[in-house]
Parts: sequence; structure tokens; C-alpha cells
Amino acid sequence: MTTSELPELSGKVALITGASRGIGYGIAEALIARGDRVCITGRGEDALKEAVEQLGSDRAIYVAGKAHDEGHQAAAVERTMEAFGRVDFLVNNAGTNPVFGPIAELDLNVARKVFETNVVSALGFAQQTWKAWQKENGGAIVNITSVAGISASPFIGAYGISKAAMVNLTLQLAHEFAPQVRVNSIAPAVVKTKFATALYEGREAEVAATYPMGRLGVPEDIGGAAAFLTSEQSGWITGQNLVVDGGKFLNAGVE
Amino acid sequence: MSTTEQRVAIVTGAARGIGAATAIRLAEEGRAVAVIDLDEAACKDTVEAITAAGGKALAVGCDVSDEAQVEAAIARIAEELGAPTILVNNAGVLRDNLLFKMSANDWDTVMNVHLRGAFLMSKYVQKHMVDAKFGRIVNLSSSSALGNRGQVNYSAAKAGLQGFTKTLAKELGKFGVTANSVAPGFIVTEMTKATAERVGMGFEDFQAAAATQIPVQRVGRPADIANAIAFFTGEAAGFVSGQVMYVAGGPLN
Repeated sequence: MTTSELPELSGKVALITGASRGIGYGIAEALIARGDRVCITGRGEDALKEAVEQLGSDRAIYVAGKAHDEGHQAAAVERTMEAFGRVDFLVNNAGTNPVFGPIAELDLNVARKVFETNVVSALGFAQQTWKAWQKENGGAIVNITSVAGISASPFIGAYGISKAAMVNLTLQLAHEFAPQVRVNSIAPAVVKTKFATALYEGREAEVAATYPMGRLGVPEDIGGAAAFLTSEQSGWITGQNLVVDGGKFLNAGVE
Repeated sequence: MSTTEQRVAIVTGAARGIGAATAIRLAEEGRAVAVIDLDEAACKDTVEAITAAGGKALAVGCDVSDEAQVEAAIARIAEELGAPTILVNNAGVLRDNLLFKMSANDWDTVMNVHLRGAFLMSKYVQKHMVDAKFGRIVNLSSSSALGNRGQVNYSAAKAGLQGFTKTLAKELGKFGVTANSVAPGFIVTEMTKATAERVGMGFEDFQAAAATQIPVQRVGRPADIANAIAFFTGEAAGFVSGQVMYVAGGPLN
């Protein structure tokens, strides 16, 4: 999308973590498409710079850093406030899933790292945006969880445990930040991104056939849900975990 | 069907309350809307609100628990508005009572309108959705599905609609049809007004008392539910299926 095609400014500003590509980038695109301005974060400066160029540099800025670094969390919120004067929405999307295999043999330091990046970081960003803007001015938070957080998965157990913790983080923040701030989460199944390649590469048709909707997710599917949960349209929805999975995890029945 | 063609939506129980707000909201989204209620004349206000705003609407009298009436109503809607591909099963009734005082009749009435009604409507509309390779079904559940004193019939029906939703999602997903459920908490409608009367409270006091128990500190309005339904029936929600969303101003599980 070129800058000339962008809509009028909505006046709203979002901070989206882990958004140089994949789901985070898809959410940034969806919010910019309705007139928001965004600050995206991530580890790699080059990828962030490229993403901001594509999103439109008058609508998007970036702050590079590691999600679990408290200094980075504070800097990202501070930079957003400096550039745009507000931070209405926080999307906690940054996540890590570094191991593939049974948790029986999982290195506990890896388990700690997964929790640090996926759960403690999300809390840190929420504390910062609450303090800097949302406590006084309101807004909304969306945590990107996963269907792995509400079911057992054979190879990504540590990730699933951390995502279950994020579901409860969502509930807890929904209580504590009400009524000013609504806090919800989105639980995707497999979305076609670089992050999830191992879950479908080389066998996409086979994996897609197990989804009632007959396809895997795309970042736009999550962008649409995030746009809804950060809009006035969802003004009475808080503490919910919206599963966006093409019906994949409707598997209570005998088949 | 090209996406520029106007999609046809059906909202049951749309003479008043959440159903009326939903019919009006879907018309704002560009849908042609069939406004169904028991009495065709009672649909007049909803239809007029839509047409006055430049939208397209049709009033249809139908008892959703009567198979012949449902079949005829869907045929008429397809004829006059076009093939329906969006269905909101909203029609509902209350027959509240404690278990030991509840008549079998009151149990059957509530089951028939909610469950048999949603079943018959979905059964007769699905062919149009499958033909179009597109469909959106939203069933109205309720926070009462989690249990509510004096509503053993209503809460069972609303919990039943959640299972109904998930099964539709599984059966119809491959045809491009999604099915989801919206579960409202306390919404200001004639139905909750009746509940206030049942428990012997003024409606204002009843709302104020409810608001103190809700995290966002206000009671809900029909528009809150209509907005969620607009999302689930929209083009952007095509990968969301089989879900139950509580729209209740706070977390419910």
C-alpha cells in the first residue's frame, strides 16, 4: 500500500511487539489500514527498517531490542509517546518457540527463556503502557496466545505452557485494568509465517485437510481479529481468548 | 457470487432488543436483511429503521419452531431478497422458574424456540450457503449457559446452542461456512426488564446493581452484541469458526 492510499488518521496509536514480519506485521498492516499509527518492535534492525518502509514511514516507527529486556520495554513505550504522543493499544505478539520435542528432556534454562520472552515480557510491556498512557486515558491490550495454550501439543510443550500462562495473564489484566482498558487475547492455530514453517512445510495440503475450513491461517486472519478487539466495536468484550483456528481444535467428538 | 453482490442476512427474533439492533447493524454493513419474528406486523419498526437509512429489509412472520413455517419463510426470503448466506439465530423466550415449580410446558417452549428453532433455520438455510460456498451462522448463547438460578430451561438451551455451534462448524467448514456463538451478559432489553420484575426490583436499580459486578462497570446494550455479530458475519472473520465469545464486560468461562 502506498502512502497516498492510506486512510485519514484515526488518531489512535498502537505498539506491536515482534512485528517485523508474520502475524505481528499482519496486525500492523490491519491497524494502519484503518488509520492508526504504529510502533513495531523486534530484534533485527534491518527487518524492522524494511517493514517500516513498507508500512509507510509517516505511519510507522520501530524500536529494536529484545522483548524480555526491561530497558527495551521502557524505550519502546517512551519512543512511541515521543513520536505520536499516546499509546492506545498494546499488542503483545513477540514470542519464541526455540525447541521442538518432548518436555521430558527439556533443558530447564530453555523453559525459563520461553517463559521470560513469552509471558514476563508481555507483562512488562503491559505495565509500561499502563503507566505511560492507558491508566489515565484508557485503551486496549491484545495478547497473542496460541491454541497450543489450550490443548496439549506433541512437540511444542514449553511453548504451550507459556501460552496458557498468557491466557491467564489476559484474565488477570482484564480484571485489574478495568474499566479503563480492555484486555483480550487471540489464539491462532497454524498461520503461514516463517515462525511456523516447521509445522507445515512440505506437507501443507495434508495439514490443511485436518482443518474444518480446509486451509491454514494467514496473517490477515489474525489482523482482522486484532483490529476488532482494538476497536469500539468490541467495547464490552474483555478477558476473552478468541480462538482463530479455522475450526481445527473443535475435536471433542469421536471421529 | 461476486463479492460486490449484496449478501442476504436473516435475523430471527428481530422485532425488538438484540435482534433488532443486529438487523439494523447488518444492514449498515450493506446486507439485505430478512427480519423474522413471530408476528410479521411487529417487525415493522425494525424494517422501517433499515429502509429509512437507505437499506433493504423484508419483514417475515414465522414461528421458528414450526418446520413448515420455516421452510416457507426461507423460500420467500430467497425469492424476494435472494439466497440467504448469513443467519443469526437470535429468537428466544424466557419461562423462568425454580426447578420444582417449572412446568414441562415451560421447559418445552424454551427448548423448542432456541434449539429446535436454530436447528430448523440452519437446516433450511444451509443449502443456500453451500451453493454459494460462503456462509456465516451466529447462534446467540448467553452467560446463563454457565448456570443461572431460576433458568434451568434457558441455561440448558443456551449451553445446547454452544454444542450446536461447534458441530455446525465441523460439518459445514469445508463449504466455506463458519458457525460461531455470541454469549451476552447483562444487556438492557425487555427481556432483562422482565427479569428485574421477576426478582422484584426496579429496572434502574437492577441495572446499577449489575454494573457494580461487571469489570468494565457498565451494563451492556444491544449494540454491543450487534457489533460482535457484525464481526463474526464479516468477510474478515472467515477463519474464525466454532467459537463462543462472551460479550459480557468481563471474563467469563
